[in-house]
This record gives sequence, structure tokens and C-alpha cells, in this order.
Amino acid sequence: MRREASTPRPGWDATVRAQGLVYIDTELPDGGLMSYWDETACYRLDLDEVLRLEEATEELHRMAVAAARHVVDRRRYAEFGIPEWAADAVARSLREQPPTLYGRFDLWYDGSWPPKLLEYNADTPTALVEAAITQWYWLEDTRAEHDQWNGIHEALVGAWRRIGADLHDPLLHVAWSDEEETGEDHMTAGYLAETAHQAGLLTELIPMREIGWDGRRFRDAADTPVNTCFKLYPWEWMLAEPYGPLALEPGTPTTWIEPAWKLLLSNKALLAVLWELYPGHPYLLPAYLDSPRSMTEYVVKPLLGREGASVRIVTPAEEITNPGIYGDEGWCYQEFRALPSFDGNRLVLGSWVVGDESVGAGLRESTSLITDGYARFLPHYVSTPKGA
Amino acid sequence: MRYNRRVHKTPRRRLRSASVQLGALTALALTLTACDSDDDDDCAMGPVGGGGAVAMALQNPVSKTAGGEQRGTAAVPERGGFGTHLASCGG
Repeated sequence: MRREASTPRPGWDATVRAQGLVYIDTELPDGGLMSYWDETACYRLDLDEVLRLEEATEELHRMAVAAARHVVDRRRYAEFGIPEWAADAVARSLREQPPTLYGRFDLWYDGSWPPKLLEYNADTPTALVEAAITQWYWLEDTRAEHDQWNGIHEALVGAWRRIGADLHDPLLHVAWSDEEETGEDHMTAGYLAETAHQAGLLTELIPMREIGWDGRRFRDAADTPVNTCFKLYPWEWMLAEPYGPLALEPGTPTTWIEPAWKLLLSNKALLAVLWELYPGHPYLLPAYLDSPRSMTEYVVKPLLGREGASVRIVTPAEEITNPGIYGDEGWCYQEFRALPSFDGNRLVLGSWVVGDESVGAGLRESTSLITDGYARFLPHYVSTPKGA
Repeated sequence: MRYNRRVHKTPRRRLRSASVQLGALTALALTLTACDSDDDDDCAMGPVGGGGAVAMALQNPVSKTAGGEQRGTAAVPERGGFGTHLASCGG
């Protein structure tokens, strides 16, 4: 893998916005604006390394699901900050295997082997529109003779088709938080609704706040029953809100996508459980829940943190802290592995999973060692020409 | 040797989607872009609207009884029982 300079397309800004990337303006602390989408450079990957990364991604996914089963079997919910009243519903969710759609691993990867798991966003992953759409069209416009590790769109449509085949009611509600102001969540929800529509489902976009309860079931603003709902809204937030217990009640006739057990995967405590179950695994970094133990260089991650908030890097030389509101729920201590630097930019590789399959990647760069809200998304291509 | 022969004969798998149809996404993007440059607060609810319904729900928060009283759900709002978290839910 290597970083290459690239000439931006004329009118790229309007192009990517029209394709759904309406949230590309990142406001900097000094009030200036930075573009989240950056096509002044791109990454080139070799086919062989993509195939290996696919295998690694699917192995990590299998391990993560096995770790979730372990947590349920041993009732280790407290270590994940999951309230006891929710435990049975989480266990039932894992046992009954309701539909699940997608997830995104964040991997440390510098082009050498092996990659290392940084976290698994398996409940409400974003950075989806840019990975599935924006960079796909960028490749069409600039390097159509090449391939891209990006079967995300096709995989999503296929997954919805499979999910839809088992639904009694073809209406899918897609809910998002209208408190999120950049438009990213709205666009992500809109995109997922579109992929479901292309799979033949009827879809209805709905803000989470518009979901109502009639005493027996959830309903939308038009009083239509919410029987199947994809929610771009974390389970840990749902559980803390008035409808949380109702959402988990066995008698509530709503199928939630992602299902409740996914909150085990999106929790940083998973990293410690994985290390416990697979000590020394090449794709894992040492991680613990009680303390950093003997590690001298480590990252302290809040169990339910998002976008790098409240993350602290500790090394003998310095401490770097990202401000944030998270941490009351507990912490995970993971061995520090500096994000690889490409021309001075720190890279994290987002590896997408749909169902149980590895389907594509999105690459984000930061200037700091913590990937946060100031990251930039860069497109990539796979160097072997199509059909070779 | 057999393995190598098989590899040579098998067409390489395409990694990327054969096509990506934007569908209604462009319209949604245009709507959100228009809202972004509009000070009208109604836009905050997005194109599906609903601000009025939420406001009504918040004014009348408790009206239905649900099961699971031991879990603190004896009374829940008729609407608006989700979505009150203020931070971004991006992953």
C-alpha cells in the first residue's frame, strides 16, 4: 500500500455533495473549514494484500462473534456496562440471531503484515456513504481501468434482499437522530434506506424522536406500526431512554437492526475479551479492563466512546488526551500502536463487513495520533486492472 | 501445480460493485444542502418533517402504561421516548 498524489476532478466539491457527501465541511477550532473528502491524494493497494485483509477481517469478525457468545455464556455484562435488566434480552438476541446488516473494523495497517484491530464499530458505523459511493464514483471518473476494494453497495442490497425475504411486512423503517447536525447520520440513514429500496423493500425514513408507543407496539408519526426498524442510533443510548426497556421486551413486535447483541461488539471491552480468548493472536493488541498492567505504552479508551473522544495515549515520553464526555461507563487499556504515517498523515483503515463477509474499505487520515472528527477521507484503488 | 493451474484459469474476482445507483440519495442530498443554507428551523427535522409532532409529544410526555414496571417503565411518553441523546451517533 502506498499514498500517491492525485489531481482533483474539476468541480469535485459539487460532485461529491450531489452524491450524498453533504457533510464534507469540517469546522476547525479556529473557525476555518476543512474538507473531509480529500482527493488531492489517494491510496494504492495491491490485490494480494486486499485478499489477505479480507481474510483477516472475516477472521476478526468470527472471533468477535465468538467473544460475544463467551460474554453471554459467562454473564460478563457488568464489564461491558450493560445493565442487568437488559442481559436476558441481549442473550436472547444472540441466540435467536435476528437480522444483522453491517459493521466496520478500524484496523492499524501500514502495508506490512499483520494488521491490528483497533476497534469494531458494529452497531452504528458511519463513514459509509463516502466508502460505498463517493470513492466508487471517484474511481469511475479517474481510474476506471482499475478495481477498488468496495463491494459495499452490492453487498448491502444483497443483504436487504435476504432480510426482506423473511419479513412478513415489507415496510422497513430507517431511523436516525435528527440531533446530529452535520447531516451525516441523515445521509447514512437515507443511503441505507435507498439500498433497501433497491432490494425491493418499502422504506420510511423517520427521526428516532418520532417513534411513538401506543401501549403495545411502536408506531411512526403516521401511526403505522414499526415492525422492522433499522436504527442508526446506538443501543447504549436506547437503553438509557424511556423506550429502552420496551425495545427489549420479548412481546414487543419490532425487529431492530442492528440487534441488541451487537452492543457487545461495539463496546471497547470486546478488545480485552478478545485478547483474553485469543492471547497473542497476530491481529490483536494486548488489552485489559482492570489496568494497563505491565504495558508502558498504551491507549485508554472509554468503553462507549465515539470518534476518538475521551481517548488518552500514554507513553513514557508524553500523554496525549482528546477531550470528550465519555468514560463513566469504564475504560479499556490497549497497547499503543502509533497509527502509520504516510507523508506525515496518520492512517486508519476501515474494513467493512456486511453480514459475515468482508466487502470493502474506507481510508481516513488524521494529523494526530487519534482519529477524531478532524479526520479526512481519501479514496483508494487496487492496482490490478479490472478483469485481469 | 494443480493449484496454480486452477488459479490461472479462474477469472479474477471483481472487488467492487458493478454499479452504484444513487436513486433517491441525490434528492435527499439536495434537500439537506438547501436546509444547510436556510435558517428556517423546520429544516432541522429533515425533509420528513415532524417537528410539530415532537413538540406535542414533549408537552404531553406521560400518557401510556407499559409492562416491565420493575425496570422503571411504568409510564412512558406517547412519543419521543427515543432520540433525546444530544451527541452524534457516528461510529
